[in-house]
Amino acid sequence: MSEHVLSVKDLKTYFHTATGIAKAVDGVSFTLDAGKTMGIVGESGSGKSVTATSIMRLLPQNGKIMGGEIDFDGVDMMKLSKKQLVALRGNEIAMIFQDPMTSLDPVFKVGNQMVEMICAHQNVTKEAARAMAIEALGRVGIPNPEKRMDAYPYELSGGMCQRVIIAMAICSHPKIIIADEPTTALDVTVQARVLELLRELQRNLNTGILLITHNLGVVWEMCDDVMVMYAGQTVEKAETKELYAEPLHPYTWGLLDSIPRLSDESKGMLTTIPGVPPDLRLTGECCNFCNRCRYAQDICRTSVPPLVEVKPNHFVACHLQNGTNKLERIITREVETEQTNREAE
Amino acid sequence: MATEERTGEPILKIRHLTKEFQLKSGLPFVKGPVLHAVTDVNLDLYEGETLGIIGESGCGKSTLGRTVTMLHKATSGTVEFEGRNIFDLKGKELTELRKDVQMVFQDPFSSLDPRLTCGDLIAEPLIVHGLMPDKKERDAFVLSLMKEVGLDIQHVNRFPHEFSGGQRQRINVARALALSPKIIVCDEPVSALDVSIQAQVLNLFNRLQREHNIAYIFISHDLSVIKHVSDRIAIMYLGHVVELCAADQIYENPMHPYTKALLSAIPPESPFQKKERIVLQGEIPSPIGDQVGCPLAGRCPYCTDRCKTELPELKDRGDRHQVACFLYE
Repeated sequence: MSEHVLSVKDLKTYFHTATGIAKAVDGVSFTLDAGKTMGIVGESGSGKSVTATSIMRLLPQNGKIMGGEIDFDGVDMMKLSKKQLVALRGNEIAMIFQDPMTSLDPVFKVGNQMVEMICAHQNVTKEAARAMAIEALGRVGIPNPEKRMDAYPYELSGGMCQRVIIAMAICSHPKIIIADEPTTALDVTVQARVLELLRELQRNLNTGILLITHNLGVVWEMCDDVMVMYAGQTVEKAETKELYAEPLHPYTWGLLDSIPRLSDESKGMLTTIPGVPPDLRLTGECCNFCNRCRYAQDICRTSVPPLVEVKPNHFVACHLQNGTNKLERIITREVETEQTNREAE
Repeated sequence: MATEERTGEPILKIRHLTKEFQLKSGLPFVKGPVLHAVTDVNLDLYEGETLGIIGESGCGKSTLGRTVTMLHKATSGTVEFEGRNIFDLKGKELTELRKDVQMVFQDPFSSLDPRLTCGDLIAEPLIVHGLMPDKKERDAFVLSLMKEVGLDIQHVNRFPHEFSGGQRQRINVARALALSPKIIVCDEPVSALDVSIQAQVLNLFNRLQREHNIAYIFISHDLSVIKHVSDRIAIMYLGHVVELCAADQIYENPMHPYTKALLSAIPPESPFQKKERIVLQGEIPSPIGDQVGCPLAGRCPYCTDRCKTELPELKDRGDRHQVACFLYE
């Protein structure tokens, strides 16, 4: 498929704070196709949520998009007026946030909130909007949708609230859904059902989903492609299966190794990434990961590694993994880790 | 630590522990309904082991942890620590007990006083319990604790807001460790942390246990984390322990229908793994009001008439694997 619904090129979003400029997103590019799911993973502060809010142009006052292009279905998002943006948000691009309880207004019935949303975007009567809302609630698997229309958000559980938000999102048949940690606040059994629901809707409506998460398990389950972010930059981007089978960036290795697995022996030591992510005000001079990377060499501390395509559709930003140079992945477990952990701590 | 070693007396014996909360009815002189948070829980904790407690939100796992540390008063039942029921203790004895049972909370941001420096925070429990009255000695001990949990000793005069989440959780661990406790109740200690930091803190917990022989009650909703740190795991549902087994057993041989559903709901470990999902119908029922029958009865695919009226007991099904389900009778 060559037609991308969403393509983001070299996006740069900086936050102007009292103590300096924080480069929250510093040159991120990716594309999303209809009917596909693109995952963005990273730790907190890696810029994954800011990427999403930049696309929606929902940044807070001190956040500015400093450069880059966002192309949504042939429309240049950067040139749109406020009014045009409002028409687009929630209509063609829907967004699902992390905390379902706070994304609904607690003082209005969920039905009224849905009707309000539909009337704002579509030229329909209140009665028709109400019927659409009931239909959408039924579609996301809420029992008794007519009755639930009159419920207040506090009367619904977290999973139910998230369903209401998904119902709201699909009412206007959006071309893409941006889901920012949609299941982080939910229990695993509820999470499984919400993900199932998202996948089913995607099949039926051919929506592109941009899924932002820190949970790699969710990525394995949902995503076709995945982008790993670290300190505002893309460190690796590939197809999900490729990334799992053959990760190339040292940070991705660390990320994959530091997750406890159910199939592992219990009470073993985990491989950790020593240290903490860098201050975003100071990034951009060298490889952002160099102070935590065990393979780091002089070049890593002096220049920023470009994102290169080492294999078809597999991009990596690492001086030592750029196709000509190659790194041998050192797998540390048990004995050796013990010692390095001690030092790291 | 292997299961075979555990032939000695448990250091903590929880027997028929029940915690109910009386809710307000909103009317004067009218008694409100009762919320059954923890119902008839029996658990043993042995020296130097980790007992993992897992369950979804609202299953009573945190209430259980808080009752054991006496932050809640139990409605009925006993918790025996070294042969004495902790709910009978008073005054000095109680203070002594609190030294031995410490707690680490979930949120590293709200569990530290923002006005105290790191050094003050770690020294606080020592001052409260009147240990080490000599300031010089105390300061030296605080520094050694900071080193122990992997904090930079130069940061002793920093305030909590200057630390990252992982470092704050280390301060919390140092505070708990200051009194050299025998048991630490950890209530979701890594839930608020990123994976790479989470791995560091989990390793810290494992190392401290080996070096100090501390027993943990480790509460979490993340099965892979629990599996990683625990010797034995208790699975809770709606205030009941429905399964109790060795950590490896839960993955290899889950028995209770709820455990199976929980395992099947966990996202896969690789994009190549295909999971068969066992879906439980409906939502978790409310713990408010009278409870009849098996807590899972309304959602269980194997539910029989007996399940609706009778409460299955937690019984040993061989290999120290305890399950509360009529399927295995």
